[in-house]
Amino acid sequence: MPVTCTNDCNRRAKLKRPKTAEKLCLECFYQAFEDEIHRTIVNNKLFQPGESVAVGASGGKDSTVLAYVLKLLNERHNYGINLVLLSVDEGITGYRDDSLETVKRNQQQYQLPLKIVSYEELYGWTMDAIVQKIGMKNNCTFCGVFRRQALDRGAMLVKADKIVTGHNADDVAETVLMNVLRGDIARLRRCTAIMTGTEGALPRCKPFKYTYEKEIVMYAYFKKLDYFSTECVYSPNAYRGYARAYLKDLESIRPSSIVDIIHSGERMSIKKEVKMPEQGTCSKCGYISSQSICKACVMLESLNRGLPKLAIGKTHKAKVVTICSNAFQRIIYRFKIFHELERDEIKFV
Amino acid sequence: MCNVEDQDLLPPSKAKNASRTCIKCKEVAQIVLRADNCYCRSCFIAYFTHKFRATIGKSKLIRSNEKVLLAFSGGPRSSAMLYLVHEGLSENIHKKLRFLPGVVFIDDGAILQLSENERRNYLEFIRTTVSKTGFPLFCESLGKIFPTNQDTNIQSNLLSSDLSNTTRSDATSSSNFDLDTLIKRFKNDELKIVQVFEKLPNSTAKEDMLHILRKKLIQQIAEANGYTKVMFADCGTRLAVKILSDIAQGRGSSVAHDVTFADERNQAVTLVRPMREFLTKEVANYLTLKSIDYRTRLSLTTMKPVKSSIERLTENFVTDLQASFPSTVNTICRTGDKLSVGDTSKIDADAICPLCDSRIDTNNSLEGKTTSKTTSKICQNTADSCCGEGDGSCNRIARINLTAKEIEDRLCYGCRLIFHSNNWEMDDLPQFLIDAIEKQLRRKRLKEEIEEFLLD
Repeated sequence: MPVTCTNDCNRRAKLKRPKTAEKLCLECFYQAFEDEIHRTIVNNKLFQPGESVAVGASGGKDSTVLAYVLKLLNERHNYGINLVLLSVDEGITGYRDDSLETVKRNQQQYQLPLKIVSYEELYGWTMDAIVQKIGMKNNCTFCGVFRRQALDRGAMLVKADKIVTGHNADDVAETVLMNVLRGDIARLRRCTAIMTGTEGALPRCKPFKYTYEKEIVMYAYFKKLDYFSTECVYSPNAYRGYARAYLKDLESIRPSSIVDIIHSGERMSIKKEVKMPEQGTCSKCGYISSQSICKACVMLESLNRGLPKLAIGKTHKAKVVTICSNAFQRIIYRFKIFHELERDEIKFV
Repeated sequence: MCNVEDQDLLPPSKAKNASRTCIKCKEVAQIVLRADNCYCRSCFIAYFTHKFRATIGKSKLIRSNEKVLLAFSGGPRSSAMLYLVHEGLSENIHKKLRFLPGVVFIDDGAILQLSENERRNYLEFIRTTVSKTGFPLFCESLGKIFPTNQDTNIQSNLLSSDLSNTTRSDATSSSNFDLDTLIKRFKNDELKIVQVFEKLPNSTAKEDMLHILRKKLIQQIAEANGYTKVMFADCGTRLAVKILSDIAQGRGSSVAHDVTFADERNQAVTLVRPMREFLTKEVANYLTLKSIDYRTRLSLTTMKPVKSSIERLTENFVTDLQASFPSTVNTICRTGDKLSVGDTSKIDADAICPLCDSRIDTNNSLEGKTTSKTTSKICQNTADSCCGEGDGSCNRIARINLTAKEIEDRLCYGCRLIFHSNNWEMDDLPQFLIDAIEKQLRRKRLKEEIEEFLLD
């Protein structure tokens, strides 16, 4: 028996909304999906008219739908923003090269400018080269740290005022759980913020913060959007896998769990006496960092010095190496000066 | 509840342990806590007892001769706690505990659908165990939270003499503790609560409700009998599960309360958790070494699939993770320790959830949920729409003059989830909840009347 749409539109329902379990027709689903994102944007004042907004585009489902929906809403509700697609080429053969093709097609389809920044030009290392050095384990740490900075640098190159990323509700909820499991209290505090980095650095925002991953897939599927769906060829983060599996199980028990976790994350407050890392800038590259030298610089240094394992383990060890090398150079320098002075004195005498 | 299993105990392979020695006294070790942390029998017991007393002592919260109620379920953790307290009070001990303990047992057999025989055996076990300690015992059925006579004053019900006389078993008067009449009285109290639990939509909501009501009833019994502190035997493993399942059920704002040593949400009765530094495994070791008798606690999801409730799933998740990453429980608990309960002195009485006593966390942004609700119009609360129509159920609502919407608005985010998508009626709510909401609403109306004269 055909089910009619619960939204009183007399059309036939085609799907069950993962978030609310109501049965909707396609038109009502699109409407609900887009309106929800619009409301999130408006309520949180994500965009100002005249701003240039870089969409972090990987070619995957989230960013493809994000680019599509933002273009649509920008026209429908006159946000007055300029959208730019921004991609990072990590240099992973068999994964990123293919997904970048998708981004390039999207550029044609949506008529948006596209900028690609690559690890190779920024750091002199492709992920393939990094993996050759450090093996299949832990390479995600490098990729993640580098990508964060690469996006910022790319956005500065295209003179964007903001970066939007396709992080969806599932991602945010998963991050809340991960930070609890890892005891990362500083990140736990900021991971549910819809907009980060408002002071100083380029602000980043997540218009999909309340959007379920399943609904994004559904939207892309019914809208027949062109996206790339392959797992990265390098090993996925195993520990994160546990959190993800747990989250999926929670969702199957109670679909609202994902939003509930985000709500919990927003409402947790941290004790005042707990020491928080202070955000400063990296003494080497000037990028924001909670340490004296940012993680990207530490990692790059360790790669260039041929000791990549150092950067993954204890941070202080790697930093000691970096600082030591600097200090050592200074000592040698002083020694030289001293030596010359001494010589001069000898001459003088 | 966390599973305590014998397989946690040593020795799994004798050859491996033969060379191991206790890290304290270099005797042959009997227990491996973690990796190379081996203890002999007496050093482990000393370590365990010391940690328990240190947790209580460190807090400096329990004064001497203060009346402290021990929440006892007969399960492994609370059995260990009862034993530790009993031992700590004996005369010849160094650093003697100085409070006056009582024991409370809440019988939830009706909700777990136990047979009368099972319940009698269980009560018998509770009675004999507690009578060995000589502490006063309060037994009550969870059904008591819904008073049978429609008298609105629940306090008087609890203070009634039958509770303090017939269910109180001092070492001397335990003979007049008649189990059959007790069970009969329990059954009488339970008609309502069984109905209410049947109406709750799923096991997750049932478990959540069960915890809340049990805690509430224990607090009421404590208050009625002059106890100012209640000890709960939650161990670290249990608290880690609690932290995660709280977060998953939208209770992020009350996580800190649920895991701190002293939960002071209820002003009259403070909840303390002296077992919070232990792992389930350590508790199991202690029970075995001391040959303490306990009963395996049944829960609503015992013998059910893993995905039958959020709590059950979380418990499974934490236990599995702990097996491969032994610091899991500790890390989660330390994260919980860093969360703040907020400034409790400044909370307005109206801003407290009448069900779970937490601060209301639903005020400004409920974006994730309300947005999707309004756009897709699923906000059709049946009780709300029928109210005032004049049929039977509405009359009852009219009598108390509260709408379902009004009640829901007063609850915190997590408690709303319990009732969500459920056709509940006013009668399904415990009286204390309705009373509290009515009081809040009366205050609100009063405040509205004097609004214009209020400065700031």
